[in-house]
Amino acid sequence: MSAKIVIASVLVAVFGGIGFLYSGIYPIGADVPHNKLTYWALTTLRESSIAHASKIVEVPDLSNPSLLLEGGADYNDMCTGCHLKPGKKESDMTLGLYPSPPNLSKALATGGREYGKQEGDKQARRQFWIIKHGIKASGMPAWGKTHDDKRIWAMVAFLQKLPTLTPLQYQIITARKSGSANMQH
Amino acid sequence: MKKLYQAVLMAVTSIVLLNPAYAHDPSEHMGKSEAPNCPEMMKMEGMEGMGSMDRKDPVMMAMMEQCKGAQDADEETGDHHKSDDGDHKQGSHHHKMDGQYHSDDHDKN
Repeated sequence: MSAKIVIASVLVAVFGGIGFLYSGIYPIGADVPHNKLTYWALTTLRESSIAHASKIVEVPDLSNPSLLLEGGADYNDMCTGCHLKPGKKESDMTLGLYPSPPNLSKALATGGREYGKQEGDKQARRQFWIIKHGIKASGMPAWGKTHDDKRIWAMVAFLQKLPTLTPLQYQIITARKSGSANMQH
Repeated sequence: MKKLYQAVLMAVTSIVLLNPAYAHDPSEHMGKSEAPNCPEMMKMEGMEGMGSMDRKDPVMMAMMEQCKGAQDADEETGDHHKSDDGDHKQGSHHHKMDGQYHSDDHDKN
């Protein structure tokens, strides 16, 4: 008797789920936020997947100032529309996309504690992986299809410093001088 | 025949596996190209905060690299105070930087 109830329950759940998918009831517009349960589930899925996948990434030395110039110019060209820059608080993309792209020019909340090297490396691995592979159904593209690892690491090096930059520092570092426009990798 | 088959298979496999990721030229998505605001930086270097920045800080080093030509020109001509006025000077700095900036450092990475 209990086995039949279990099987019946599973079948109801499966067909109920399929029916829900095809019903069109769930609001898919980006201007209607997920309910809390769905938001939690999707966020947990995303962060767990990124943490797992990025474990094997090895972080190179990111202290070379040239990386800031290279990565900063790319960030200014390709990323500011969604992820902003010092002095810019919002854009059409940050208002219109859901979930809203994180403002990468602001420091992460650390609860007042210092970011050690281990956490710094973990953040760098995460950023590298996200830039390279993108995130499904989020508006974040997989830049790895058109940008090699060296170029992506330069962007990661820049992202490490971005929250500390003033608008003037940002402008100077990200400006492309005409001599560097034809850099080949 | 077997060796020929193996050779063809290795050649095809190599071509497929060695397909590189083509990084496109940065100029393809280059926005408005603007010169770094070096006069403003040099003005602020005399102010508190900016002037006390660690010269070995990567951010400081990157900024100095960007403004290298402008700083050299100012040291040679002693035009530090004249750099306060805007577009003409900025244009001339830009012209000098074009000639003096070397992208070699980027190639080293």
